[in-house]
Amino acid sequence: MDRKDLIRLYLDAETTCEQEQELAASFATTPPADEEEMAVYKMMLSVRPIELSELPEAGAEYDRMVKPAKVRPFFTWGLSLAGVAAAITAVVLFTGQPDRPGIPATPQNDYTKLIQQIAFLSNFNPAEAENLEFKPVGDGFVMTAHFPDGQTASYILTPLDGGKSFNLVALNK
Amino acid sequence: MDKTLEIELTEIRPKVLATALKFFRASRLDGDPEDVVQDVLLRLWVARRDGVQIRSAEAWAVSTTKNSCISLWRKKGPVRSGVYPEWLSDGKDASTLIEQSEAERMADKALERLPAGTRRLLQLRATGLSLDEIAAITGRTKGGVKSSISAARQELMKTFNTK
Repeated sequence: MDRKDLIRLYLDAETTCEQEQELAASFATTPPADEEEMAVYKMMLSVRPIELSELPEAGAEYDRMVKPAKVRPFFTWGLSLAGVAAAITAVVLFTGQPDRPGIPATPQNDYTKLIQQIAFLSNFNPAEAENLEFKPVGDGFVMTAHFPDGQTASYILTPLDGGKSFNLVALNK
Repeated sequence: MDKTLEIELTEIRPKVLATALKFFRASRLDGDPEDVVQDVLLRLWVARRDGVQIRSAEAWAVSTTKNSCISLWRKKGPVRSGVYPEWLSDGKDASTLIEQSEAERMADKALERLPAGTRRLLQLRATGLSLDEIAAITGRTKGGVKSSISAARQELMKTFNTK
C-alpha cells in the first residue's frame, strides 16, 4: 500500500496500529511530497504518546483520606430504623408541649400535626449532608449534619447493643 | 487484539471508577475521576503488553488507582504533557529552531482546541492502542472512538494544511 492510500485510511481512522507505524516510518525515510503529506506528518509529530510517570506507593495515604467517608454507609443502613426513631422522638418532643389554654386540640389537629412533623423531618436525611461533625457526649455523640443548601441539623446518637447500632434522635434544624 | 485483555479492562473499569470516585468525594479534589480510570487501565494495558506477572488484575488495578489518586492529589494541577524529543532540534540553526518552535506552538494550540476527551483518544492511539483497547479503556464504543479520532484528524488536517 502506498503512502497516499495509508494517509486516506489514517484520516478516516481506518488504519491499524501497524499501518500507522508504517506511515510514520515512511516519513523518516522519504520527506513529505506535498502539502497534504506535510500536514499529516506535522499531525503525527504533534500528537505525542502518553508517558506514564512512576506512581508513589500510597495505599495507606489513600485509606487515611477516604476512611472518614466510610462512616456514611453505616448511617445510611441505620437510617431506615433510626430515621423512624428520630421522627417519632422528635414528634413526641414537638407535640409533647402542653396545649395553650383556650385552644382545645382536636384529634384531627393532632394527627395533622403529627403527619406534618414526620414529613418535615423526613426532608432532613443526614445521609444527604455535605459533611458531618461529631462531638462526643457521654457514651454517645452529638452529630451535626451540614446540608448543601446551608442548613444544618443536629442529632444525638446513643449506642445500642454495645455499639452494634445507634439510636438517632433529632434535636433541631 | 487480545480479547481477554479487552474483557478484563471492561470488567475492572467499574471497580476502578468506584475507587477513584470515593477519593474525589472524600478529598474534594477538582478534576475528573475518569482521567484516573483511564490512567490505571492504560497502565494495566502496558503491564500486560510488557508481560508483567499480575496475579489479581482487580487487586492490582485498585492498588494502582489509590496510588494514582494520591499522585494526582499531590500534584493538584494539570499534568504537563511531555516535551518534544531532542532529535527534533538536532543539527538545526537558530532561525530554523525559532520557526520550528513556532510550528510546535501552533500544533499545541490546534490540539488544545480539541475537546480534552478527543485529545486523549488521539494520545491513546499514538501510544499504540487499538480501537478496541481504547474503547475498553475509555468506556466508549469502538464506533464512537473511531468516528471521534477520524473527526479530530480531519479537523487537525485543516489547521496544518493551511500553514
